Amino acid sequence: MRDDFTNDTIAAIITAPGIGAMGALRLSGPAAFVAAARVFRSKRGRLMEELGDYSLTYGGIYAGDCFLDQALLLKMKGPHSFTGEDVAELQCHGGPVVLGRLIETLTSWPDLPIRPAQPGEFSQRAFLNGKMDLSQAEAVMELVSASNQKAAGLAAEQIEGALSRRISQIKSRLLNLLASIEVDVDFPDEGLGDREGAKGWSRQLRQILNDTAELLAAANLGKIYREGLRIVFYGRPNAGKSSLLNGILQEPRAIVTPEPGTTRDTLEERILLKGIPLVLTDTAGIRETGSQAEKAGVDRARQMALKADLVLYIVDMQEGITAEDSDLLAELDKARTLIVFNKMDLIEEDENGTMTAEAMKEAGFEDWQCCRLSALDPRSLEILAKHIKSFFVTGRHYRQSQEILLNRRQEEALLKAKTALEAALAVLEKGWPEDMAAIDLKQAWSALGELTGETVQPALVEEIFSRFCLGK
Amino acid sequence: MTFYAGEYDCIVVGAGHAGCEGALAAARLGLNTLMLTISRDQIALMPCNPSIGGPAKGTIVREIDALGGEMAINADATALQAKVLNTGKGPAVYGLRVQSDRYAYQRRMIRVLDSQPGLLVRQNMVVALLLDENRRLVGVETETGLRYKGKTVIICTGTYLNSRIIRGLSNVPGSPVGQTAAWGLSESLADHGFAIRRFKTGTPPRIHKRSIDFSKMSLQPGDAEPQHFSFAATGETRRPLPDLPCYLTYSNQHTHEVIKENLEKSLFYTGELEGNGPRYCPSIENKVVRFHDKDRHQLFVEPEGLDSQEYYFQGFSSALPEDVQERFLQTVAGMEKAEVLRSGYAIEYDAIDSQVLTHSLESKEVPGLFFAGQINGTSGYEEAAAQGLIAGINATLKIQGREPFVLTRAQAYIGVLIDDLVMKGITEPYRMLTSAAEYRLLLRQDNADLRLTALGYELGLISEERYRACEEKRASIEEGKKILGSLTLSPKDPLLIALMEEKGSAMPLHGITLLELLRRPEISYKDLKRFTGMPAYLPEVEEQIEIQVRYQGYIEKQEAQVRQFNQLEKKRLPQDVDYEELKGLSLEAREKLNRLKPYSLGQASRITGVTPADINVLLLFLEHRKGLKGGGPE
Ligand SMILES: Nc1nc2c(ncn2[C@@H]2O[C@H](COP(=O)(O)OP(=O)(O)OP(=O)(O)O)[C@@H](O)[C@H]2O)c(=O)[nH]1
Ligand SMILES: [Mg+2]
Repeated sequence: MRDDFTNDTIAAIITAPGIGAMGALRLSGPAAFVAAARVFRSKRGRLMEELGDYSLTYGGIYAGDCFLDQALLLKMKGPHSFTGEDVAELQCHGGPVVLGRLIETLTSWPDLPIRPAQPGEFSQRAFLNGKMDLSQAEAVMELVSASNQKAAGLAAEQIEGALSRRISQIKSRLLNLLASIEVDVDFPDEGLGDREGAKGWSRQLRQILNDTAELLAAANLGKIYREGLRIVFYGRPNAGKSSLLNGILQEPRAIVTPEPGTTRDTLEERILLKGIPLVLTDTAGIRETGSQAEKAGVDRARQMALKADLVLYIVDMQEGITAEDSDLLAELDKARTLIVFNKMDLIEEDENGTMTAEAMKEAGFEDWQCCRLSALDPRSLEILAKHIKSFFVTGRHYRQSQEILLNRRQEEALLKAKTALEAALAVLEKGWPEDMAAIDLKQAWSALGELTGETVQPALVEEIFSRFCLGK
Repeated sequence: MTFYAGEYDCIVVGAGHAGCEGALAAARLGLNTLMLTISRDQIALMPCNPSIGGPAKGTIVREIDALGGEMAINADATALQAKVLNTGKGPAVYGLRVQSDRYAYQRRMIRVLDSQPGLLVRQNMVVALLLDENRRLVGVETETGLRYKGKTVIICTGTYLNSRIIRGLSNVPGSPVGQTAAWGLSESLADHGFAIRRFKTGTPPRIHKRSIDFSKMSLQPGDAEPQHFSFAATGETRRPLPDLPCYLTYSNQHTHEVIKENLEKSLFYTGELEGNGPRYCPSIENKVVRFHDKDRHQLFVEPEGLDSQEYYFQGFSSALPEDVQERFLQTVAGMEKAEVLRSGYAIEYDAIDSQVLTHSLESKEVPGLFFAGQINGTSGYEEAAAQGLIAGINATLKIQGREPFVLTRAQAYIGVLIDDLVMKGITEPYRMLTSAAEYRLLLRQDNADLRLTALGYELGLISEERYRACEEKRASIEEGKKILGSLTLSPKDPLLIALMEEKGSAMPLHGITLLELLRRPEISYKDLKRFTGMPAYLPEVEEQIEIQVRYQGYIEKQEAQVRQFNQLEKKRLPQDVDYEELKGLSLEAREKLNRLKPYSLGQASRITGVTPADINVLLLFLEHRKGLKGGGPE
């Protein structure tokens, strides 16, 4: 047995399961071309050896003599391929049945052993062959599972190394600071350390902390692209929350009745609005109630509102902003709230929106963001969409152009780094021994290294690759 | 048949700081030991600064002591003054440093060696290493033609091998004591396949006391309550010190100008000589060139001995010609009339590549042959002594057919030092720094005894009495912490209120234990003595309680890091792998891994040139191999 562990050839379907427009299967390893030749026949009868090293060829795929489907063969010679090995990809119209037959055939030859790929094994090989670093490998996974274009774009940027670059900027600052402390510790006689001592160090450290916090904030935006903007419909009973949800979804998803207290539990729906992925949550109207079930629903609604990226606070304009509305609004974060005046069709409002403006002023919310609409009017959808988008793009929390896509593991590592940096700052500011700060700083350093794979953690690498969906 | 003048279990070549520890350890562990030295007058010589310790180095000295070595006791017994450096920067980086009476240091060490049963210290220069036709170790041959058989040989030749002294444009054979260098042995080692490389270091001028105007310098006395290196409290180690002071002065613009004008008079600046010099102990001309924006450098004036008129000028090491040295020397405040007794010089010497050694400091190619000290590329007395001790211990274990004694990076600075030497490899003289120790808060100078005494006892180098004392100390510390945790003070306690006011400490709102109080940086163990029920212990026990309680949070952080470190350390790398076959590894990593054959992933990760990405590849490789062995998918 050779120790070379990427010596065998593997195969797997690389398109998502289900009936798509196209299916694809990838072979990687030394026997990739030989195996492909056994199932693929070029339309013009050309042999595998005759095809270019990087070529696309039209033909058909067969299981033995049985024709399965028309197909394209993509041939890529190692080391300039995705995995760094010889790679053959077969693309066909075929659904799961055809691809299933194909895999079965490929793995059935005793004289040419081909093995089904483990989850993540293609990327693992790419990584092992020096084709990408850890954060890049992870980004491949994000790219594959990206639910929208923006997220896909961010993942693609990360494969290019955008995250690694930002992290290494922070790391080089951190290294400077650490070196300055270490010199002071190791060469007390030389007087080479930072002449300002702890004060200068604190200043440098605050800068590093800022950068880290900014990266985390940028990551937040990236997260919204990946996981969706969490919008919660919130307000008093009968305000029209469910009606508005149905309006946006353009289907009667939630039950609507003229009776207050219709919605009891939260209801979640996903939708892509102008390219922004949204997670919409309808909630029970908030009121004092004797019903156990409704009470539980009200509690849940409150919690959802606190966790939301954006709260749509629906006001029934027939009643205006009531005292209960004021109380509820006061609990919310202004920057993450949009007041929606609903049922505007039922009242007389002038073009300047004097009435609603008056109501906001009276209740003390005049500088909050708001909009006026009627849930029953399809044009309302446009108005709301515009507001959501502008909130998303110009929202105070999020600055565009610095978006970074972090997965949970990476976010945790970054948080860990931030916590350690904060601890170090506290040490320096309290006048504690600098060596303690050095311990925290080194911890931050290694947490940042975890992001890019420079800090080695045995369990980590395996885990990352096993999380890839099959074949990627 | 060749005549052999004698047959020994262990032959130690060289009587510097490495040789002394190596020979003593071997003889004390029962080996019939011969030590060969060029000159019996130069045993345990301090050819450079007359001081021992400092950050990291001081910790090494205490580790040597806890393992039963001699350096700490010898330094305590001959100290002129003692000072703890870095106080206030954290207990991990405190460094005790003593100024030594270098003559007394030598005299005492010679006495200890000569009175050691089983050890013979003989003057004779070794010129050849003898191996048989199968490259098995036979012994050594001396300049006078005597041949000695040795089951083990420890080479500790310091800076003497083919050494050359460089001053200005002169470059002549010579050693730190002016005699000729040791010749022959380097060539013999090279003949046997050991790659030889050149390292360099330097030393400053020594000045006559009567010519120094101390009034222009600032006085640097030792600590009022001097500490000691050795954990053994004897009359020798706890003697009152004469407290001979040092002095501090500075170089100035004028000094730097004279140096800059004369740079071309140094072989190192004409480009003729390179020599890998220690970055951490540069010559004054290097400092002036590298830190050209600094307008002055700190310089210390240190006594060399009670009976000596010589003062050592620390920070002023130079390889410029003697006349230039004198000219810029006299620009320094207090040195205007300086009379030079010995001028500064650079020294170039042969060293081996330490990566040919195992963690027990034994040659991978020639079993039984050990190397220790500056020949392995380190600088400093302390680093040398530590290696000598480890080599002496392992020579013994080798003969006894026992497992080698290897300290890990999480156990001792000595472990860090040797691991760096044999795994990382070095390209310039290696000085022990606290920053090299990842877990330095655990490897403190104050707890070296608690870490290592039991190991020294098991080896047979620590007496029953010292071992007992150490275990009692450990028990007292635990007991003390328990008692402190059980004593609760009421926030109304007038004594507590008074203490909080005195120390500007926040008044606790609820009852508070003495343990919690001690966590506050402004509160010391001594402050707590006013409360009833407070136990009284030996000062070193109280010191331990204070450190362990105060830094508990950080100590725990480091312990967690050690657990993580051990994860990689425990991943064994098979010895039969051809790393050339692992295409995912970088070229450099494949070459180095094949050459060094690390035993664990942890070791591999510390090889220079092996990147984290390479380690990830190895990790996956191990997983994969495990899968195959376990009958996984083929
Ligand atoms: N005329 C008019 N009626 C509306 C509008 N929005 C909602 N309604 C009506 O108001 C009533 C309550 O609407 P829902 O959407 O169930 O209100 P809700 O906020 O979900 O109420 P709960 O689930 O009880 O908290 C229904 O009869 C809707 O038809 C609107 O814009 N104009
Ligand atoms: Mg509803």
